[in-house]
Order: sequence, then C-alpha cells, then structure tokens
Amino acid sequence: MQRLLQFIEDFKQYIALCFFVVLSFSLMAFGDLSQFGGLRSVVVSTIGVFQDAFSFIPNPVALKSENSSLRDLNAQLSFEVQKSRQSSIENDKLRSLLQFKSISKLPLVPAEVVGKTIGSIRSYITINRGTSSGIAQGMAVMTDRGLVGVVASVSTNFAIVSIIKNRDIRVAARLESSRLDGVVYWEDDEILVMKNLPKTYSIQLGEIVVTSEFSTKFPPNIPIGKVVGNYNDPNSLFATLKIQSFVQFETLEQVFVVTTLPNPERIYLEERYQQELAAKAKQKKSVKKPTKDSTGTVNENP
Amino acid sequence: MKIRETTLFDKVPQLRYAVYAAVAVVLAIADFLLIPLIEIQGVVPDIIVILVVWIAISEGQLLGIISGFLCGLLVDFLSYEGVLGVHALVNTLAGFTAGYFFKESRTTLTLQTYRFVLILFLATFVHNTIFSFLYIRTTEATLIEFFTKYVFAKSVYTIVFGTIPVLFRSLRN
Repeated sequence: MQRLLQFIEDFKQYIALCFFVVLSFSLMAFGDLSQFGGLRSVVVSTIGVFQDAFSFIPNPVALKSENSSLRDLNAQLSFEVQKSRQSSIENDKLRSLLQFKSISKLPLVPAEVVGKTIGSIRSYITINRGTSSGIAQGMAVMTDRGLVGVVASVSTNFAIVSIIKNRDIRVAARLESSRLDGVVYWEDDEILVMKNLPKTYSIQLGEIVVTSEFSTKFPPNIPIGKVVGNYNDPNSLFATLKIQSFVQFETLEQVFVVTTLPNPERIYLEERYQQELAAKAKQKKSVKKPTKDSTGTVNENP
Repeated sequence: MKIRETTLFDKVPQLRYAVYAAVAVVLAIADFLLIPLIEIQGVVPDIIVILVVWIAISEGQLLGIISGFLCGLLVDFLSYEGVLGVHALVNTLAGFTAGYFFKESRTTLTLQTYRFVLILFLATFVHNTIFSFLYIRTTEATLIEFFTKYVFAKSVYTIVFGTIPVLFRSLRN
C-alpha cells in the first residue's frame, strides 16, 4: 500500500494527465451539450446580452471582410440582373420571331447564329442548321425585321450565310409605294445603295424597299430597308438611293431560312435565253465586221 | 533587502484559487465577446491558455493540468461548437507542457521575464496543434496553411497577449 501511495505521489502529474485526457475523450464521446438544456440556454442568453452591449465596438477586420463579401455579392447580383435583363430581351426577340413565323406564309426554318464575320469585304454568318434541316445553298435568310442574305455554303448541321452587306450580293428590289424597281447592293459603307432608278420620279424619305419579283434569288416582298437619302450625281441618268437595312447585323442572333429555292425552270429559261443572245451576238460579230466610210463614221449596219 | 507588506493572499493562500477562477470566468467571457473583434485573417489569440500556463508555472504541473481541464471545460461549455471536452483536452495538455518548466524557486523570475513568453509559445503550440488536428478538416487547409495559420500564427498572436501579464508583473515588482 505504501508503495502504491509512493507510486501515486511520484507520478501524480502523469496519473492526473491520463485521468483528465481520458475524461476529456469520454466527454467528447458521450457528452452532448444539448443535455444541459435550460442551463445552456441561460448561459447563451446571458452571453447574448453581453454581446449586444459590446456590439457598438467596431471590428475593422470583420468590417473589411464583410465589405469584401458584400462587394462580391454585389458583383454576383449585378451579373444576375444583367443575365435576367438579357433573358428578358431574348424572350421579347423570340416572341416576336415566333409570332412572325406563325403569320409568315413562307416556309421557314428557325436557326441560331453561331458565328459572325461582319465588317470585312465579304461579311457572313454561320448558322446552326444544315442539310439535315432541309437547308440548301441559295436559300434566302431573313429575320422578322427583313432580309439577311443567302445561304452560300452548307454542311450537315451548319450553313454559311452571305449577308447583304457583301459585295457579291445584288438584290433585285422594289420601292414599296412607288413601285420602282432597282438593284440593291452594298458598296463599302454602313448604308446599302439602290441603283437604276429613273430620276424623273420623286421618292420620299423613309419609303420601304422590298425584294422584287424580278429576283431569281430571293422570294418577293421581303423587306430590305428604308430610304434614308440619295446620292446627287448630275452626270448620271439614274438616281442612286441610300438604303438603311432593317436588320442590325451586329446584334443578329436568330434568323429564319426560307426553305424554298427559286424556280429552276425559270432560272433555266432565263439562262438559256441569255446564252442564246450571247451566241447570236458572237455569230453576228464574226459574220459582219463594221466598215468605215470616207468621213471616218462607223457603220454598224451597212 | 526589500520588505514586502503582508497581504490577504499571504494570510489565506487558498484565496488565490478563487482569484484564478474569477479570472478564468472573465477571460472565458472576454474570449467570446471581445476576442472576435481582434480577429486577423481568421486568427484569434487564445487568452484562456495564458491563464493555464500562468497557473502551471506558479503552482506546478498538477495544478496546471487541473486548471487546464477546468478552464477548457468552461470554454467548452460557453462555446457554440457543441463538442464537449475538446478545449478541456487541449488546455490540459497545455497545462501539462507548461508545468514541466515549474521550479518553485524560480517562479517569480519566470513569470516576469521572456521565459514565460517562451513557455507560453511552446504550450500554445501544443494546444493549437492538437486543437487544429481535432477541428480542422483536411479539405479546409493544406499542411503548410495548417501549420502557418492555425498553429504558428495563432501561437504568435497568443504570446503577444501573453506579454501583457509579464510586463504588468515586472513593472509592479
């Protein structure tokens, strides 16, 4: 017994340490603060009263951290607002497109613009519809606002559309009210031009230009733009108008492909006739050469 | 020779335990009310462990262990974390570590010099290492961050506060 007491006396620190460590682990394993119930709630409310009393003391570090997190939250919310605003705009756009599709008599396939090259000599867009959706080269592309361009190349799921702000595209057009026909094309400005109009007619600013029935590429009566001015050239016999396109190409997101191709019979007939005319002219040139008389005048029909 | 007046503590030595208990309660409450106000990058000092180390150096290893356990239990009880016994364990170990440096003849010298700060740093290091191992999940911090932020930085911050009683005591004497 004496030895035991001596042992305890010698190692009391280690025994105490072991005891309290075991006790701590036991508390961790079995002790649940919720068991203290009411007593703990009294302690918590007392501390709450003290905390409330000390709440006037500013904590610069916590304030800085709170400030930072609020700034983050603000940025996040701004982003959400922006996203929501964009969704609303997109919603309006889609609604108008949907409405347009339901009232349009043309067979339309909706497509989304997935690529865009605007501003170069040959501007074009890429859309997410191809041969699998019935798209073919030469089909007209439009929006609810007006003419966009023509399908230039097509793959299974994508198509490249040459937009009318492209030097390769010329559109047979008509002034909607005046019924005057001309050709609309893009030179190198923001504005399209309409040529081959007689100068003798008076044309009002704001008059709408639509595709003409003469066009072999585009269905008739698709709006192109409106007259915003004219180029006054006194030496020319014809008037040249400035046309503002209805379509905002820079913000173009959704389009419709008109899935009808120009009548091949008509194209064939017109091409054949052109070839015949060309052949006749060539034949005439080779048979009858122009002769010069003594005064130097050229006689085309001697 | 310096002659000191007899105080109430000399007449009733047990009174100092009551003082320790009162200080422990005050520090535990301050730990909840004031310490969060001086948080730097999530690091706060542990003021309870200063008292535990002080008791261990003044009274010996055994009392250091007991006071560590009781003070830790008090903190556990007041904390919102809900796990009873964690602070009790780490403060017990801090008291045990600090108690190793108890020498009755050199208590005064230790308490009013840098030795106290060094012992405090060691005890706090042990305290924070075990506490962090129990509380910090491995996904929350890398090993380097674990030691720099939750162990080393917290220990340094604690010894900054640990110098206050040392200065106070050395100035008084």
